[in-house]
Amino acid sequence: MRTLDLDARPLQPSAAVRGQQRRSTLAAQVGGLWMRLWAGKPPGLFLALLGAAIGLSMAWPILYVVWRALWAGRARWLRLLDGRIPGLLWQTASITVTTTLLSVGIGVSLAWLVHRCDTPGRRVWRWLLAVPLMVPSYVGAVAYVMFLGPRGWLSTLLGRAPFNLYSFWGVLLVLTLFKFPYVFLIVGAALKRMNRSYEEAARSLGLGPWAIFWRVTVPFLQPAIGAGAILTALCTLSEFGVVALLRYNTFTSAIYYQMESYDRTAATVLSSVLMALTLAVLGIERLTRGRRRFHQTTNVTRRPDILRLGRWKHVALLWVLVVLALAVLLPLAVLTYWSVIGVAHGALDGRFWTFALNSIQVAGLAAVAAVVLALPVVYLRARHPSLPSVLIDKLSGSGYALPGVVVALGLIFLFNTYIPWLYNTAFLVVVAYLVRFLPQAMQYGGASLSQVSPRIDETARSLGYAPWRVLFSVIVPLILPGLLAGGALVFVSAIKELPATLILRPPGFDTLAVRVWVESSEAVYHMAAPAAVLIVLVSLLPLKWMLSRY
Amino acid sequence: MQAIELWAVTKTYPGTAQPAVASLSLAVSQGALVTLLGPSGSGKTTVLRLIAGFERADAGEILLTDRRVSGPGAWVAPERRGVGMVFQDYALFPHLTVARNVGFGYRGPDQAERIREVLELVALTGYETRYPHELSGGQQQRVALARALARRPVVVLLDEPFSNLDAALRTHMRLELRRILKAAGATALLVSHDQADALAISDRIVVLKGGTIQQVGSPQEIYQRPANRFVATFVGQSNLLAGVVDNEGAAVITDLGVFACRHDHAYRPGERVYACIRPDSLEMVPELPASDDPVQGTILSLTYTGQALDAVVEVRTVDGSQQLLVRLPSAADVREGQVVALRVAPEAVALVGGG
Repeated sequence: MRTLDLDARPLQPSAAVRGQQRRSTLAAQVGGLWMRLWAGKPPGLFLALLGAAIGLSMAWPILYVVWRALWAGRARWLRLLDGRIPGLLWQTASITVTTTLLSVGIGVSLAWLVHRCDTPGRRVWRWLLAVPLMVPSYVGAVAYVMFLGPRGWLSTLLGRAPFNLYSFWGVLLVLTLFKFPYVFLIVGAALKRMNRSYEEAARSLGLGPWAIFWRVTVPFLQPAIGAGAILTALCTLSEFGVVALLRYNTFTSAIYYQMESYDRTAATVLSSVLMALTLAVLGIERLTRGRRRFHQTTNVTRRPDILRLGRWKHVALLWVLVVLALAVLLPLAVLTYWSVIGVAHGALDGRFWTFALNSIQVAGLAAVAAVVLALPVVYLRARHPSLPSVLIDKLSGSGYALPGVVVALGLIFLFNTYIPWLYNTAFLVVVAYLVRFLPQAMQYGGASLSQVSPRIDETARSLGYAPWRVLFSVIVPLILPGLLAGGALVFVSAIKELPATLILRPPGFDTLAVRVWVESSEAVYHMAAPAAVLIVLVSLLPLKWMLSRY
Repeated sequence: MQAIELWAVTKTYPGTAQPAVASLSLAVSQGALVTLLGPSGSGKTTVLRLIAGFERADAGEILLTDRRVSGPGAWVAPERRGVGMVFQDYALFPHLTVARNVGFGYRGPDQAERIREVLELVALTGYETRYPHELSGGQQQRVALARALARRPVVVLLDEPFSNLDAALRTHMRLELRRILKAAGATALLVSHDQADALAISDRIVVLKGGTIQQVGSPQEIYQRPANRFVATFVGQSNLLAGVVDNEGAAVITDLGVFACRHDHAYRPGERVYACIRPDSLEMVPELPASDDPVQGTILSLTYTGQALDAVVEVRTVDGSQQLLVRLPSAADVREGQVVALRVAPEAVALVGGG
């Protein structure tokens, strides 16, 4: 029989214990408030302060731009609102809307053809069609200038330019060719996830293939199409290289030229309007996403039927090939051609490798810093979910959707005013990369951390590990692959980045991206091409990760 | 000395009105194996997390071996409490081998020796270099237990230790868990929603509902003398019959008849109570003279469970009818619709409050 001393018994607490109130000293009140602020799970003070510092420094440049714009003065606001802004608004909005619509058309049709139809070679096209997204758009624009521009291949062949690239239509062509893969990838992923039972249910209810497409498949894809469209619109809004190279005026290029002419106050006003536009697009996204959310009812997915195209097969293949030729083959051919000429003329000299080294240095520094800074932010967000941690997360990620020119403008102001001894150093370029690309590192780090159960942290705590030791001996080893992938992505993004680099680099500090820009602006194609090819090669590195994500 | 003392501990989660644990007081003596038993939402896991230090109590005090770890002006972080935790999903570190998992919290110079010792205790010698994903569910649980025991904790807390195991393994692990905890001389507090697990393994059971204690007692006490209607129905099945205590206090008068009850109750003659009759305390009898006063009823349904034949019997009363659950021997020769006579086994009627 079990012995009596192995006991559990209810206790009768004295009235004193029952009535015990937390003494209402100031310290106790502050403590209580702190507890409530963090929803009962406060992090250590150091971690909280670190997170807050990261969030504020990431958001500061952007907020500062708005702040300066507010003090730009009524007269300047009115003059800009009357003069420049309406025209810019029209040009920006028209190119954004048309690019988005065209990208949706191309992206959805291609996704459908390579995922759900028996288009020949569809497995190869699935990943080849993602390639244009990896190539920075301004490199695409450079390639098209080399091909269709006044001194391009075709013009030389025909004796005159067949088509004015320096126009709305030229910008639309280049932007669409290099942005449509957003829609293509996201819709393709949705098609892959789609359970065939939905379409079978529709068929059993008496619908024909055409009716099924419009009444089941398209509504099912709507969230994916919407997400792809929003992403395309955001990228077009913040696009600088293409519009500036093709001398089309949108907000980003206008801000850039305003800064070049040292009218920074006007630049802040234009930046504020551009940010408002970006927020409006994000608002649309929030609205549509909130209403339409589909959940698959089961995890059992059976791959949908492949539609037999019959003789339309050849038309489908032709469409895929045309897009591939224009978006991948042609740009690569032109760039390779000029690179060969460039190399023959000694383009790969010491200067070239200096540029490459500069690129690697600033991008590498930004990548390492992004990994280090992302860790506390994602840890706070995942393990101490509360208002402050959400705020820190949002602030740290505020540079995500914003154009590089705006970030650069904010940094110029800040460093000029408060930290002038760092102004005109490569450090500013690194900071700009951090503001823009920290969210990428946060995304990867956060995704890996969400795979680690909080019970793991708690177990380590109960085994005698203080919070910071838990972080370094358990959490970091577990999420290291995700952190490194995020860092690699930041590195590649930083290598590709053009506007912030262009604006913030100290004199004489050229990177590969800057060289592509400068040489192609001056139509020295054989000098621009090798740097562009090198950027493309680096950009293609994360293709494998990208495809496995979507 | 008490290993765990909770004094009027209250915890309300942010954003909820009802406290998860409401002014709960409990003492667990050293070396005891105690189960917190309750339905989901009864606050049992919260009690565990409060003791471990993963949640902070709003009021009250928590003492571990006479050390105040939580209370007004006192807070000891989880890592300084010396509490061993075994989670429902085991939470083994996936990047460490079994040996390194077990040695994670034990940093003494004799670490290797201690790892060997506890692995032997949980019968996993030879698995040192395996990784968690290479182990079965039962083995993972042993590793989690070994890891918690390695640093000789003041108290081991186990959250739903059997819920991730299949039925066959479950019965085996109950015995194993008890053997291991007793061999380690550990004080253990378990959380379970399964009364069979609780009855089988515990020295004492604490029944919880709505964040308050319903009853504390040995498994026999809980089963044979439930403190209230909730305990009577939650721990095992019960037939509850409304009635009144007779003049001597030795029987209860119900619509179905007068039943002799246990004598160790605290109800006064004439008090309204419920007679709690377990399905296995009812037995079928051949028709007897009317004086013996068996309960007669019609079998509504029969469920064959292997060990027994569970019958629902409808009994006519003065103003209507009442259904009784009766556990018959599995070989009983009965059929639905048959009229049977039932008798209550002597000393098998417990009284619970009429509230």
